[in-house]
Amino acid sequence: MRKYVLPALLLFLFILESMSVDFFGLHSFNEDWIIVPRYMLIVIALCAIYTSPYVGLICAMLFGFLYDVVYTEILGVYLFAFGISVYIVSSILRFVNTNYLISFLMVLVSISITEHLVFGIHSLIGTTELTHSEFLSIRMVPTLVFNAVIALLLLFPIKLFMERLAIEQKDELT
Amino acid sequence: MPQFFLNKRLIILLVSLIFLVALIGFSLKERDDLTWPEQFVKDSTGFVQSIFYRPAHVVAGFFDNVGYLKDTYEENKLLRARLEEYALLETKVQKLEQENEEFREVIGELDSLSDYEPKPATVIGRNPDQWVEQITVNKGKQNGVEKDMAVITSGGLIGKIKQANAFTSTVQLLSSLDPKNRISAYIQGEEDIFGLIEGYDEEKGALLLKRIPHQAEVKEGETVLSSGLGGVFPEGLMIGEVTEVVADEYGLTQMAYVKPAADFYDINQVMIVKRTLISGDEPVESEEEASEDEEGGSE
Repeated sequence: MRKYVLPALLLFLFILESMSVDFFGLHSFNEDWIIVPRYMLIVIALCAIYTSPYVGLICAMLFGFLYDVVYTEILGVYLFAFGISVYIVSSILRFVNTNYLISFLMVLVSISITEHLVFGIHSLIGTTELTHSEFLSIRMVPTLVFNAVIALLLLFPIKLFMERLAIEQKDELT
Repeated sequence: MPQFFLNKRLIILLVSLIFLVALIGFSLKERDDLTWPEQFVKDSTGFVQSIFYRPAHVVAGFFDNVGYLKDTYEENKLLRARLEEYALLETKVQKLEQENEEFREVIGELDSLSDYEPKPATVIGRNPDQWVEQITVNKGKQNGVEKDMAVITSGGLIGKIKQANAFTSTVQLLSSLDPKNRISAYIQGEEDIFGLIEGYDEEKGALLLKRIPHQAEVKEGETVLSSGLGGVFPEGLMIGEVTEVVADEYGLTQMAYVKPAADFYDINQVMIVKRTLISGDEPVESEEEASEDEEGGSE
């Protein structure tokens, strides 16, 4: 049963991202900052950490592509960015053991990789004129801080949920 | 490490890079319509979005109302003072409108560039990554929305329809950086000064009104309206207010920073504007061509 909850949760977060930019005053913290909510990526990264990298990667690419189609209309950007960042995170995790601190750091790593990749692609195709230092100060740092707070809130419940999901998957296989 | 280069993963990475470049190239191409799978996905997510957005609008509206309640007394006082002026203004406007109509009849020209039909629509989504400033509204081709129509709020012009799907459509906001996003505009003053809105300054949060003749005297605080000469937007849509005037890159023309009148955040209800006066064929391109010709010398 829980395996249907994950896509539904991700879809809800997908819509919540656009709602929180529009309604809940993310823009009014500070006029100059651009805060990008990345709830979906947080959950996908945690999914890759606690269930399996494979599930995480599939989710990342699927929802990355959905993000491209629905929100940006530039196909492939998030498909690639989410995929790469989840892949890097799961390959780092092969060398370290997971605990709360590590998984929290991994979430931040995946967010910063995604932001950088997307920034890189947008500066290549010329839809932004920001320099890298401007990008860091007005977009990257506020986004990271905001998402770090969200990640701290989500970490424990999502971990519980993911571990139960992993156990259920194992049960189904055996 | 040499093993790495024989690795299957490297090949996958390279193939996916090529795939990525192809996809981006495909989607950046001028497209009249999205492909049908995209339209289908956008319409179906639009349906889910509108389910979630309706309660969110209610909640956000409630908090707004509580906010308003706080300074009701002050506002009421101000409004009462304004109301008397308003009555006076209304009679004046009526008189002017009547006069205007009479004059038009005398000339025999009944259509004007400023006539338009508004279609109300509700916002059901916004691009959260804010690289491309885009919102989704719940009216599409089925409701007669077409590409390139202007979109306004009560504040003023906010953007134009980028893509129309069957039941939803995408609005590109003025604040997004797109070289194709040009609007013919004029500054309302003793003498109307024409220019083109081209681009957006992210740091200042201001639109750039370029190609103002260099002898023109532009004062700060003057209003900028759409001129209707571009052939797509009707005349007289409020765009913003001039905050600063500087010389252009080459010093041949001037450029003004325009503070947009509409709030690009917290948009609930929008109007999609259809110009009633039928314009000539391919007006958008002709406008672009004209401006490119002007540019020709400097490049």
